[in-house]
Amino acid sequence: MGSQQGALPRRTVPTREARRPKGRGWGERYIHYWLILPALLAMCAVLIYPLVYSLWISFFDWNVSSADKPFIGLRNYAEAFTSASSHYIFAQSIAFMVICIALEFVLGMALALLLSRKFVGRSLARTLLLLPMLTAPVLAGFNFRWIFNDRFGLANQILLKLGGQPVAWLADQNLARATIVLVTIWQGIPLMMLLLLAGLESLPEAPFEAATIDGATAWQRFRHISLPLLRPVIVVAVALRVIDLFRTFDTVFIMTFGGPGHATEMLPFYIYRAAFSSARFGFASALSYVVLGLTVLALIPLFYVERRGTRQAQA
Amino acid sequence: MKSLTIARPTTAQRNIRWRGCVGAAATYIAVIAAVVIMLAPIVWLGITSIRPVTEITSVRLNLLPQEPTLRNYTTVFERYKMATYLKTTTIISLAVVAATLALGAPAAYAMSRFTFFGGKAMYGAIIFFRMIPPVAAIVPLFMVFDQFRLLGSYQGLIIAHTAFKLPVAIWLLRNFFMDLPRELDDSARVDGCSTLGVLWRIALPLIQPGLAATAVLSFLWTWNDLLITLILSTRTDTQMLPLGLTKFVLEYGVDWGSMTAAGVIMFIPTLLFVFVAQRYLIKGLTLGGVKE
Amino acid sequence: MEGEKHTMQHPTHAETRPTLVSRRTLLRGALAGTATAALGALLAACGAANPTATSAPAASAGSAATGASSAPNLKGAKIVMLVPSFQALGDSYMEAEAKEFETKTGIHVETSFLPFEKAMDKQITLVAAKSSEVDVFGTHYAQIGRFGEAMVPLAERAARDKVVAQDYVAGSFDALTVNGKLLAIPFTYDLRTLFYRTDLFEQAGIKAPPATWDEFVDVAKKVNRPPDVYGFLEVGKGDPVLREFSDILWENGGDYLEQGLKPSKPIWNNAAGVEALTWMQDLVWKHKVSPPGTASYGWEENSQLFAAGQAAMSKQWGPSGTEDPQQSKIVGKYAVAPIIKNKSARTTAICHARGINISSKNQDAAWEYVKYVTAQEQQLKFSKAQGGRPAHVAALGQARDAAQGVVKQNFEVSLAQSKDGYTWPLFPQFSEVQPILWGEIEKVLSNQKTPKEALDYAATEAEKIFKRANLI
Repeated sequence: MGSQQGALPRRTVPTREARRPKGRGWGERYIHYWLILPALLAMCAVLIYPLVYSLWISFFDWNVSSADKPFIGLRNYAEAFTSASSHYIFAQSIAFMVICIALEFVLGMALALLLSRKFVGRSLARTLLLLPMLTAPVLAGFNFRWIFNDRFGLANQILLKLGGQPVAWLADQNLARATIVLVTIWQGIPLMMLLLLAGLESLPEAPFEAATIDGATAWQRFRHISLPLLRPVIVVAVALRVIDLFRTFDTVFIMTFGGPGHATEMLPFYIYRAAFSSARFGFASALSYVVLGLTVLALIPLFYVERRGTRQAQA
Repeated sequence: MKSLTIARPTTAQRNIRWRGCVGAAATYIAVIAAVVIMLAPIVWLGITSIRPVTEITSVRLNLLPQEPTLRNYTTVFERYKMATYLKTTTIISLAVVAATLALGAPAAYAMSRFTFFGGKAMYGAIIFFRMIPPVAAIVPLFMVFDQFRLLGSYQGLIIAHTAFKLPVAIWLLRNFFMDLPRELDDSARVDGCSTLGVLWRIALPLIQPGLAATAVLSFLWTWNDLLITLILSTRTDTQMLPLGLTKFVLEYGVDWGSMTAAGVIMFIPTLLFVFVAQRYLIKGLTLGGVKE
Repeated sequence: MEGEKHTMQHPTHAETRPTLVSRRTLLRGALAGTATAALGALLAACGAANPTATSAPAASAGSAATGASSAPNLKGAKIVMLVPSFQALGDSYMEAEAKEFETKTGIHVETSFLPFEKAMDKQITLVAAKSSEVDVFGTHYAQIGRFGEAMVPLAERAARDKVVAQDYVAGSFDALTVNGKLLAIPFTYDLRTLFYRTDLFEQAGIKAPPATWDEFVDVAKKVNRPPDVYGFLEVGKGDPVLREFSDILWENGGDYLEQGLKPSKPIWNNAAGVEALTWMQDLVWKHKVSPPGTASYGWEENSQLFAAGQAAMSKQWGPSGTEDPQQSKIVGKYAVAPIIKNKSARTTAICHARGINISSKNQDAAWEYVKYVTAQEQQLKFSKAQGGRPAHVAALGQARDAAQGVVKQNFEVSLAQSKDGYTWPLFPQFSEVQPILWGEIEKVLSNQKTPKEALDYAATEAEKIFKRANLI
């Protein structure tokens, strides 16, 4: 860190000058709006209208196959919260998210610690480990469906070679869930690793030196120095994964289509099925808003963890 | 002779050196194991793609192809429309990169440099846009594009992809701009530069790594995205590669050979960019903390 | 990155780790953004049009256009069609056919093919958006119920141009009629037959293919050599598993509803139904003659695995993949038999069909095209190109006579059993029930529920749906 003094909390408050350059005409005075406008228009045109529209139809029994689409108020939302199948999907989605994040965190942290050591080829290793996260989810899905194919897949060929019996990976509820988790973390670990690695590299050296002199073990240093200092990074990484995992669609769509018997069906796919298999767009839209709400709910605890951390740091 | 002049290391020193060696060896073993495990699925994809169909549909393990063939690669061009998919996907991805940078960079610059009414809302909106499950927007998006006669056209696909990439791109570029000292701007302004001038002549050249990272990521995300092409392309000539890939799993048969060959072709840009632009990519991904 | 550190101060980042995004702003932004957007959505929603109001005119416009213009000049018209893929062979034939059609009529046809389920989902999207982007839909018995309000009624045009029910396979016009409106013209005729491996049967000393459930299990056990070769392959997931269950349900004398195809109380969970599903489950888990992966097999796996020589018996729609030497290891090693009977010989007999999007702006041109591809001559050509069965009776006869070898055998066997052809209920609400049913059957095949529990649950849910629509 070149100049630590610059990293002090010195929030530059823009001067009036910078905020609103005077005497340069109308265009220059509102230049920030002009700069933002094109991007804002593009996003609003393409993203806002669909959102508003789907909120609107979420109050209707909006079904393609029937001519009338009556207003039903909050009944779609009531169904989303009360029906047994929704409960199953909610529980499953949340369990999926928690398991994936936990595994990604542990494995991502292990890789980050490994790569934070100095060795020849470190940069190459880090680059190679990036590949999974930049693989198309469609391709990852197909590829794992192929590897876990119960007849010709690599996984079963290896099992057979080792004297085991072939396993029907995608036809058993728990194995299918495990397979989906595997693909998801395969794509998710690299990001976790990158963020944690960047965090580890920016940690100050002094506390570690002091702890080593005091005879702390590697685990103690990690547990009592690295982890607390990394908290902000961890919060960001987890928040990003929460957002992404609540949107997981391609993998399920490609690998299991939600099966066997809804065992791998998560919220986005449930929405898809409500819309396309059942043609109930009103219900599907209501579900979409429930998912958005859930994402926000999941972020709130993180927000508090973060605030508490900041207060402790200030004290 | 030389060794004589050197003091023999003490046992303790030797111990440390020995432990260092073991540590290094352990590090290498662990790193190699991790890389092998993480890359094995991709390697297997490549290996499958050069097997003949009869080998693909065999229950017995043969790690290496017994009769390697490029037949799957010719098949995807002859029996399937791989050439069309590649052309369409390349054109659209490049156009999206151009549009994303052209729209995203000014917006990101404004957000990094000015505080103004609505700025926070804009910032919130950008994060909010990232949280939308894309499935939620399918039908309404389709309706809008239908009304503007943009379905199944290059323009439509470019606009939609750009809009979905913009929030992340702005976020990313904003972080790069924040990293630039404002003093540079201010001194240029004192010299009489307009804001646009500062952006064009000072700020943009300085965040070239950021532009590169944003360009590469927008390209790959467009190249890899299934949902938008699944929704918006209504004709064969505007279908993109990810949708093309789903066609190898047809109604009455799975053509694993062709799928893996097409998959390898689809994977080339990822491989290329990860190696060519790794520094920018890593910086972009950690600085923005983003992943789509 | 690479140790590249930031040497300058940061405008807003207060932490010591400027390489990372400010997480507080991220979280705060997420919450603020949500609030902003939700507010905006509420305000805008007040101004949005009522979706109920807009649906009626579209429907009436469609039917008004039907009676208009008897001989319009359609040269230069452009239409788009979206149909399920018939694999590389079928698709390239349809493209060539579209070009031929253009030289004859001057109507340009753009073709688009998608795998079956994706094509149907895309069509639903088009319909929901009232889009005129696509004119011709490829549809199917399995889907037609959902399109009751979405396709142009064709009865008048068909009568005017002498496209009549007698020319097509029995019952097909009725099946494609929803709420009293004929919505599509039959295109292919689909029946399944039992494909069996003659070489494996010979090795095991079996003289004739099985004809009843009991014989079937015996034979399957005799040729069963897991994990290399299984006795029988059945489909086990999604929409396909419902087709498999349909056959077995009917073979066992059961049916879906109390009054057959009419909206009525579900009876698939009665003794006959439970027994049928138990038999399906037993093939995998008790007799172990079907692979444990069954619950992950759709049509694609089913035909691929049989072609790869992984099973001794399997029900197939036709010999296309199995005859392709590039894909198949069993060319010349299999024959075709009628599907198994138990208490009844009823079997699934269904059609792919071609219809017109109700929002299409080129309905006359679209009709010309639909008429063209469903006529005798074109159906025969299509059959020759990809080996399927035409839905046009005369073309079907010609195709059968022209066929050879196992293709001919398949024609003969399947047409002989077509007198027992049957289908599942086709009214719209049943389409909504189907995903529930297939999800439950998947649960049975993957041992998450007993057949009785699963079928009961599906019946309860179905009753709710029927009641909501005032059908029972």
